[in-house]
Amino acid sequence: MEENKNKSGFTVPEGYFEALDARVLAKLKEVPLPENNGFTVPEGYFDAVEDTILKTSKTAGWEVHVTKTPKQQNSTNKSIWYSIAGIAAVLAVVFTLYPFGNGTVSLEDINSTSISAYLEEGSLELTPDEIATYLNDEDFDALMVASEEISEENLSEYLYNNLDDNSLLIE
Amino acid sequence: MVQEKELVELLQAPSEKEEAFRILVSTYKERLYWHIRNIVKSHDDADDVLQNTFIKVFRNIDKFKGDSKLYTWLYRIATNEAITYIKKRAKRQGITSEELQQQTLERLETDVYFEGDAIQLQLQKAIATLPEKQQLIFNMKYFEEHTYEELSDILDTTVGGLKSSYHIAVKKIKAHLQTNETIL
Repeated sequence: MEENKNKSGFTVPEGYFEALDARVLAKLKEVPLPENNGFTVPEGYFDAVEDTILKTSKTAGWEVHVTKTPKQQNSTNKSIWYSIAGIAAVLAVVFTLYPFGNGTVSLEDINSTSISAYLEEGSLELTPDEIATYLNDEDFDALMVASEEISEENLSEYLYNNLDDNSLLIE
Repeated sequence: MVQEKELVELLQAPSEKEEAFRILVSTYKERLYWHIRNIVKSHDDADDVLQNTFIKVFRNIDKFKGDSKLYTWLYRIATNEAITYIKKRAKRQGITSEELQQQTLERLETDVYFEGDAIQLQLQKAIATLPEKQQLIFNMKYFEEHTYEELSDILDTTVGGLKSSYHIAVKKIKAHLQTNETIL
């Protein structure tokens, strides 16, 4: 092998071959990771799964069941702003899609506590991100303007009532 | 010195397997290392492939039926492991095996485990221009000094085919070296 080394120019670290046996044997004793996750399915499951799904869907009248998104706690100013924007967006959507008969109901007629309670009870299963998908650029511009017009007093009141860590208000 | 047949029997006997494996590693480690090193070029890669080779041998020794010689089987596993290693690495980098080999050769000049001179470096570059099988044949004949009969067993190719491939490989390498003004 020395001749081989000279011919090719390749070399090995000092003592490499002397230590190799022990390293290979040590590696053999390592517990190998399992090749699969161990889960199995009942026999014939995949053969019958299409029929089962189709049957269930028909029984359920082809209804789509939406999983309820867990309610999130607001913990930062950013999320509060999202909530405010979300509330305003919801109202914008509601008023656009369901105009009330006399057309006299406006944002001022519903107090923010009622809206917050409505959302916190999970009556509306939409996240702010989902609501945002219903809005176009003009809606966002309007929301930005509306947000800027919120008075400091109203904002402080909202934060006082909704913020988990009130120490943040000291700032 | 344990004979090959006896070693296989020991390897396949559960109570003797580990001790027999120790003998196997000790007997073949250098030969297989240089075979792998000539394919992958870098020491670290050769070390990885060599260990993978021995582990594969250990786990599959029960499947060895003795239809071929043990060393032939070992060389086949080592060759497959080395080529697969290069292909997998190339795929991970989104390049071809040839491009990977070029990258490896470019690093050879600064490789602490390459002490070749200008001619040896040029020879490696010339080998890299050959098709995969011609590279294998050239390395195994020129550097590892296998006989054509041994090569025939390992690579499952006729002696005539091997002689022809080696002859073509040498011719191409000489042409490459002459173009680059180096004499083999």
